[in-house]
Formats: sequence, C-alpha cells, structure tokens
Amino acid sequence: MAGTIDPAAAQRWSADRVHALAPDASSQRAGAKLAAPGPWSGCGAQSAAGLLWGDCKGSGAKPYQVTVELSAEQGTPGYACSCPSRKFPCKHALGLMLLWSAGGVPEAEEPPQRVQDWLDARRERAERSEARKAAAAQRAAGEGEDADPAAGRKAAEAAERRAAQRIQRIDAGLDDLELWLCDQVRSGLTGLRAAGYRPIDDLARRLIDAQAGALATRVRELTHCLNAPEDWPERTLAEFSLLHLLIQGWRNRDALPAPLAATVRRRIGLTMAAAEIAEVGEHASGRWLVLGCRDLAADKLVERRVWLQRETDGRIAMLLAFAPPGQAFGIALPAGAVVEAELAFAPDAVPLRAVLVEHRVVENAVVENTVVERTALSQNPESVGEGPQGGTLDEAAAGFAAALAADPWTAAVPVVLDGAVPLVGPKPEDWQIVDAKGGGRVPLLASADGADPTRAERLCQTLLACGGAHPAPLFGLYRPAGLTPITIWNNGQAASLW
Amino acid sequence: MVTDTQPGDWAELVSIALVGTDRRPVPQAAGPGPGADRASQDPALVLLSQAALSALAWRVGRPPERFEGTLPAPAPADPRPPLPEPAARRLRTILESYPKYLPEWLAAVRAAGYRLPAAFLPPLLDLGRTNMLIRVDLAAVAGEPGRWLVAAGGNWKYLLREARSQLRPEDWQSPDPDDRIAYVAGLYLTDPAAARRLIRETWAGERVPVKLGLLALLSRYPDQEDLPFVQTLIRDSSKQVRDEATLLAGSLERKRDKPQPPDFTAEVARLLAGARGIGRDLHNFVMTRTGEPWPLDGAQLLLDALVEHGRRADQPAWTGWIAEQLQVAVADNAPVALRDRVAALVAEQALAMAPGGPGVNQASRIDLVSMLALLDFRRDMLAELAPPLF
Repeated sequence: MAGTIDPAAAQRWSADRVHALAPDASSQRAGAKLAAPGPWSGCGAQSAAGLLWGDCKGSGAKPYQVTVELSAEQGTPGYACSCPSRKFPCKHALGLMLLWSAGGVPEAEEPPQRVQDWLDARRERAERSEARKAAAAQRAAGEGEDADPAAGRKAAEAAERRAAQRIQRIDAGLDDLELWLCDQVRSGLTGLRAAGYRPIDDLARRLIDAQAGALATRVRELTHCLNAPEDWPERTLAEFSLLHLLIQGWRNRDALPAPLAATVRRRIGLTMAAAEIAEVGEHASGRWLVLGCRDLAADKLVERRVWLQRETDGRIAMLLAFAPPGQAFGIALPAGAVVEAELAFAPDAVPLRAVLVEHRVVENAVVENTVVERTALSQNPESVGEGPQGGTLDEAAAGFAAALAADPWTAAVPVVLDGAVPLVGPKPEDWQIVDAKGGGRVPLLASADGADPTRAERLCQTLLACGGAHPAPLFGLYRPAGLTPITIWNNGQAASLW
Repeated sequence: MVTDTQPGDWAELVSIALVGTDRRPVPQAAGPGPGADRASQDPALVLLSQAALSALAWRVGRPPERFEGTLPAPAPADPRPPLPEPAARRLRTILESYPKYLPEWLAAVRAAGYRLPAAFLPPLLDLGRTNMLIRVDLAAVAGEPGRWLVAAGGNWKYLLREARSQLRPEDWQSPDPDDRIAYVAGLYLTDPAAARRLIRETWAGERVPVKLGLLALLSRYPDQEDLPFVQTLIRDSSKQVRDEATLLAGSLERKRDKPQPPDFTAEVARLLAGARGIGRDLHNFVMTRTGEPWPLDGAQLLLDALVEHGRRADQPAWTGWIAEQLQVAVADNAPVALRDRVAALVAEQALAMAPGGPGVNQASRIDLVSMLALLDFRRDMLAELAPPLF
C-alpha cells in the first residue's frame, strides 16, 4: 500500500518505544485507552523537536492540558499535565504520545503560549542545574588559587572520612558474616534449614546496616537455596563458600587484579555511579541491537535491564536503570531496535554493565580550568529486519564456564542462540529448549530471576507461537540449570516474551 | 579418626557441612588453599575454603545434554498478508481496554484475510475458551498456524473442532472426532442444508464425542426443521447426549412458540411513539438486540430521540441512567455511517455552548462527545482493516 511520504512520520516514535516509557502496566493500559482521538482537542506536534501538546477531556469540566517534550538533547523526556495523577508520565501524556506515534496528532507551526511558557521554564531549570553542577565541579576541583582552598580541603576531608567510615562498617559486617557462616558450618546446615528465614533475615539486616547492600541481597537468597527441593545441601554449601570467598576477596582486594577487585567491590555493594563509569570505563561505540528488556520489581525500586549487542562483533552490554514504582525510566529501548551509541563498560572481571555516553563535551566556558562533563543519551532507534548474532548451547555453556572462571560469583550469562526450538512439556517446568544447530538441550526456566511464576505458562505459549518451532534466534539468560528466554526472533521480527 | 576420602571431595564436604564440623572432622588439604593460614586453626574455615574450590566444579555444571529425538513439526507457512501495523496496535488496545469490540474486529480481519502477529494467538485463544461467540471468526483468523499451535501444546482444543479454511473431505473420513466435527462445522459455513443432511444420515454410527460436537453445531445454528430429529435424540443411549438433546429440543420449542423477533426499526419507532419515549420498555428491547448489527435508520431514530431527550429539563432523574446506557448501545452497535451525524451534532452542541450562542438551555445535555469517541474508534478500527491491495 503506497501512501504519501510524510516527513514527520520518520521522526515519530514507535508505539513500543512509547510503551516502554510507561511507569507500570496499569498506566500502559490506561494510556492505550486514551490513544484514540475522541477525548482530545487542540492537539499539535512538532515532531522534529519532539514536542507534543493537547487537551484531554477527563471526568472534570476542564480538560487536562498535556505537554510532552521528547527531544534527545534534553536527555530524559519531560512531561507536564494538569491532572492530579502522581504517575509520571501520566496516562494522558502516554495517550498523547501513542496518538502521535500512530500519526493522529497534526504537525503545527507554533505551540500555544502555555506550551512555550513551560518550555522556557524547563530550559531555565536545566540551565540552572547545569550551572549548579558547574559550580559544584568548580568547588570539587577548587584546590587551585581562585577557589576557597580551605572549604575545598574540608569537603575533601569529609568525603574521605565518610569513605573510610563505610570501609570500617563493611569490614565489621564481613567479620560478623564470617562468624555466622562458621557457626552454621560447625553446628550443621540441617539446623539452619529448620530455623526458617528468621536468622537469615536478621543477618541480612545487619549487613544493610554495614552498608553492604549487595551482600545482604545475596544472603537473603540463601532462603531459596535452603528451600530447594532436592539439592538444597549442595546449593547452600555452594552459596556459603561463595560468601566466604567474597569475604576473602574483600580482605585481599589490594592484591587482586584491578578488574577482579572491582567485581568484589560491586558484589559487596559498592557500586560505581554512571558518571564514574563514563569516566573510567572502557568505551565502545557502534550500532547496537537491543536484544531484550526486563523489569524486575525490587523493594522500593523497579530495576530495568536492557541488553544490547554490537553489530560488528556481537559483544553484549547491559544497561541498568532504576525508577520508583510509578515513575518513568530514563531508557526506553524496545527489543529489536537499533541504537547508534557510544557505551562505557564498568570495570569488571567480566565486563557487561555499561552506561550510554553520547558524546563528551569539554566546556571551558563557565570557569577556566574547570572541566564539565556532560553525558546524555543518544537514542536513535530504527527498526531493522536483521536478527542478532548467535551461537550454540555448547558455546553458551563454555561462555558460562569462562565467566565463572573470571568471576566465581557469576549466576547466569546473557546468550543468543542461533536456532532455538522449544520442546513442549505438560507443565511449564517440563519445557525444554533444543539447539537445532548444535544439538544440545536444556530445561526452559520460565520463572527464574524473580519472575512471576503465574506468567510462566504464557511465556512458554508465546515462545511457541512466535517461533513456530522453526529454529529461530533466541536471546536469554543461560545457567547450567537451564535457559530463561527473553526475546525470540521470527523472520527478523523480535518478539519480547516478558 | 581417619577418613579415606580425598580432601576437597565435594560430596564429602557437603555431608560434613550437613551434620557440622563439630561432629565430623574435616580432611586437611595438602597444599595451602585460600586463607590457609587462618583456616588451619578453624575446621569450619577449612571446610569453607575447600568448598569454595570444589563448588566451582559443581556450579559449572555439565555441558548441555544431547537432543536425540526428532524436532517437532514446525508451524505451517501462512500465505496471508500480515496485519497492518496500526491494526496490530489497535488489537492491543482492544484486548486491554475495549474487549467489547473484539467480535466486530475479528469479523473484519476475517473478511479482509489478514494474518495475525503470532504473539496475539495465546491471549485470543484464551478468550475463545470462554467466549463461544468469537470461535468461528477466531478459528478462521488464527488459520492453520493457530491449529498448529493448539495441536503443538496449549489448552485450546476447542479450536480443532472449528471449521478449517477449506473443506477437506478426508476430515470426514478421519477417525479423530475433532476432524469430523470440524468438517461438519465447515460444511455449515458453505452449505447448511447439506450439513444438516449429513448429521441425520450418519448419526446412528457416530461415537459419543462426535455426537456431542454435532449437537453443539445444531444448537449454534438453530433451525426449526431440526426439531423432530432432535426430539428423537432424547432417547439416545448416552446420558450426555440425552441431556444435551433435551436442552436443545427445549430451546427450539420455546423459539417455535415465541413470535418472530420484531423488526428493529419498526419496534423502536413504535416504542418511541408510545407515551413514555425514552423509558424502560425501549431500554429492555434495545438491550436484547445488542451484539448484532443495527439498521442505520433505526439507530438514527434512537439517536435523535436521545438528543431530544437531553434537551428537555423535565425528565425524571431515573431516565438519565437509561439514556446513558442507550447512548453506549447506539455507539457500540450502530453502523459507523452514523458517525457523521453524531459529529454534526457535536459541532452544533459546541456552537450552542459558545459565547453568543443560544446558550446552555438550548443545548442537549447528552454526552455526544463520548459517543463520537466510540464511533470514531470503531470507524478507525474498520478502516484499518480494509482488505489489502494486491
């Protein structure tokens, strides 16, 4: 079907990309409901600038005034809506974006005054925060003559004191953990299993107080090991030994190779900020295919993981984003999209986590001798008809072994299979993944990694329906116990299974 | 005490850890392991250090097992053109927010001859399990890949009893009850009289599962001519068949004794002409006719009556609820051709409300904007499903 070529259409986001901005499933549904022209009036868009506006008829007499700015230069999208919702973006903003994505919002020359006012305020805020950041950077770097030397020294000393204090707390927490581990091993794991979750929960709390968050999460997962039906003694002892190894690694961290030391620090809970990764990490740029995306609800934050694969060499990277429930993520990349981006990999024994770095602007304008680094997202996803580059199950197993050798705490590795076929079982637990190329088979783990077990059946069905039992590229997480599928390709079309 | 196991043997370490190092000694490692200097004093630390090494081998697992069987037959190719992207997006909206339009949507997809994105098959097949009304269209739209999916795994066996896209005489020879039922279902779509004849001719030789499936078809396409035949089935040897036949015969008898349903437009006109206008009788009648397409003139009559009703301030409060229900029913069931009339009324209403206009008193209080939104939704939905150009 040939239609007229619409220049604005190329700049519009795909519906999947808009859906990825939704803070949760109910907002997504509510937004989709509003993606019909009915309740909208006074809509307009400047697709080139990523600017949308419109009035949405709600339950009240006055329509809600909605404004959205999606421009890449601002980094994160901006939303404004006169509705009282605390969701961000709210359903009205999502509905407007979906309407726009479907071509239902006409292009306009001039935005109305309220939109212009909002834009100006937003620009001003951005500038102020830039200026604040610059001032902070100046203070931090202000050991020179022009800044106040005493204040700078004081701040640096305070930061150093805080860091030393945290190290002390972690040291004490690990001593506590070691003592606990030894006590359990002395009196026998059977006793721990009988004692229920309480002792483990108490220990995890103490580790949180010791500011070793990742370690606390690890300790909490001991309950899963203890509750495993068959091999609980093996799994529990293995996890015990990993905790022991982590304690040893922390104490000897100065003697370890730098990447492994970074892994130990991360596994304890000393994570690196995105800005620091962008500064010290290994940079890699190119065209990246989005392999898949998963959201995991943790305590107070939802964690989004997005895996990318570089087209030139098949290298896999994982982006992490966090958002409180009901808030939008900074990254919205649906599976199958292609991103032209520069990434920075966090130092690690097995580098995987990365941050998006568009470009590095060195600005000397604000203050002399002050380097202000600005990182922003570069997202220009385009849909493509090519699938990912994959291998066999045997290669996945070898990859897992190699990762385990470098980072003994590895739980699973992201892999792409070239020709996967699901093998149907009576229950979701009985399904398998067959590698039609390499001839291997592994169990399909539909409800691993904290996934909703009630969704396991639907995941299996979708996998079967989308792949059609043709050998198809499949992206997932491999561990010796099995494979957790995330995305399947069929005729170059990516279908997300989550 | 002497143990003859090797230090660091994984199974041995696990069994020591289970009972505790207080009760069983730990074999000493020959060389220094991690933390050996400290560990030499504490058997628990010795055990943990040895376990850290042995656990690696356990955790790395074995290479994937070999697959020895034959791969399952892949899904058959579907030559139909893929569903246009806007329609696929709308299906998502329909499933999430407007399930009431799914039957109309499926019928339009079937008429246009599109192939569904495979990811939608599982949720649609789930809906068909409880919603019998969409099964015929769903089976046609799901097509051969849908049948393959059901046969390959999934709890949607009902689909196999629905008509295939083409009548296959070999299905009637098949020993599988589902195939035989699917054949008759297909025959009903092309030649109902032949289907009825076939059921009667072969009934005596059929097995119970086939009989039950055929009875379901007889009640899906009720026909008074079937009544004498169905009445003979009340004495069938199977209790299940007897029960179903009794139900069907009863329903056919009730339909025979009841007058034909009145013509929609004429009945609406009659009820509106009565003293009560927009009232309970009209509401009751209209609600029995939802889910079927309405004639345009009847829908227009109702719409005009609703607009007039909204203009009058002296209506009893309870009619407001009825008017709301009728509005939604009109928007859901009227031909989308009514949409332009509603759009014109919306413009009129806006004009009346504008400053300098006749004012609020002249404007109808009926929520035309919501009606227009629903009609727009249906209009766009159907427009997206125009048959592909070849």
